[in-house]
Amino acid sequence: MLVDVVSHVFRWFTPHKNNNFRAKILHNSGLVVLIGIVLGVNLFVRLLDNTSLHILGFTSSVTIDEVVSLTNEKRVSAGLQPLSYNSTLADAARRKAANMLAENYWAHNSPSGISPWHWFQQAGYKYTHAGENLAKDFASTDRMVEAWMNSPTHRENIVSDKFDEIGIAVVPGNLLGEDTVLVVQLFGSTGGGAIPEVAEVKEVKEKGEGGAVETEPVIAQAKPLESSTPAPTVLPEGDYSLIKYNEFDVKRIASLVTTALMILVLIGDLAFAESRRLSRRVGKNWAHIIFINVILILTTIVNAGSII
Amino acid sequence: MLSDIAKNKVDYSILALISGCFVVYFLAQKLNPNNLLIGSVIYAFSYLLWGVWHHLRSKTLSLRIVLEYFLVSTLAVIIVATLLL
Repeated sequence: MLVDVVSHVFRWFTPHKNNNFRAKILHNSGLVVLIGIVLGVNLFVRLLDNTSLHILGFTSSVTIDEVVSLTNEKRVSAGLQPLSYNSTLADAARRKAANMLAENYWAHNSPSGISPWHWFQQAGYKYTHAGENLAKDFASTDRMVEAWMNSPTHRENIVSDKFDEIGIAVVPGNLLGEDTVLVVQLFGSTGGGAIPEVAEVKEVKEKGEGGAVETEPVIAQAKPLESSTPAPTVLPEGDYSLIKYNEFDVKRIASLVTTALMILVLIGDLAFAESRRLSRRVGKNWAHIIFINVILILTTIVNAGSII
Repeated sequence: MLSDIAKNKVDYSILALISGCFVVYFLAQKLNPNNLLIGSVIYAFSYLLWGVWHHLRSKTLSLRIVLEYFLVSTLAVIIVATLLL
């Protein structure tokens, strides 16, 4: 009985007289079954994610310390001074993140028209220059910072010599119907602690889809620079306490396994057909291998997170 | 194992060129999920056309073969879509 089952499974992946000397999974019927399995696994993962238990949900290892540290690494590599962590800027970042979750939007400006700079003022940070980078859905800090560095407008904020302070908020929540971890990275400078005379207030200028940088001075009053060490990232208890896996990682592993399995079966089938000098009227294995390899590359470069 | 490639150098060169172009495109668009999805659909459709053209040239085209290329292309698009959507 067990031998029969193993033999049956084996025939799905190896050529045999019972499968017309071609792995069953490479037959059209096998491909239809494989498509069904991929769709079924995806549906199952989504169902798990939507259960009240949040068995999957979204997990992230992004921490404030790491964001500051990696950002400063990039600055030092670019020949700039590292930014000092500012708790007032961090407070502004937390206010922005809370507003995004409350008003349920993914943009620099809120649907009610509140600009990023509003939160600087609310927190009491009097800036001469300010910038904002946003990210969500990233499972790790290095991938997130790398994504910012790959975007010219976000990179401009990170390696700008106009800024000397940074504030970060890492806030888990439900945004646009999906569990996520929002990261708000704010940059600022107060002109060395002595704020210039009152200047004209300018409209916020956003650069493309990337981070926004405001270079015009705003109304300000003298206020000493305030720096401190980053506060630890604290995930709220409740919904997140049962999170076990990251949905994206599960789907990525399933995709990698499927594509790698297809390539292995195709190579095995190719070797078998060559060794037996079989002539078959089927699709070209080499072509399938080239095509699926490109898909394999694509599944490895796809990034879970998004930035604006 | 490389005999088929040796016999169909032109066909495989074209497939390699198409694939190479799409790899470059995917790397350039890796931060834009919409473009990645659109690119993967176009690449899959190009692969289906390549398969039909190749088997037409070698006079081995049949409905079963067209269906095989269609299913492989569909599988690829579904794999990418499950990651991006």
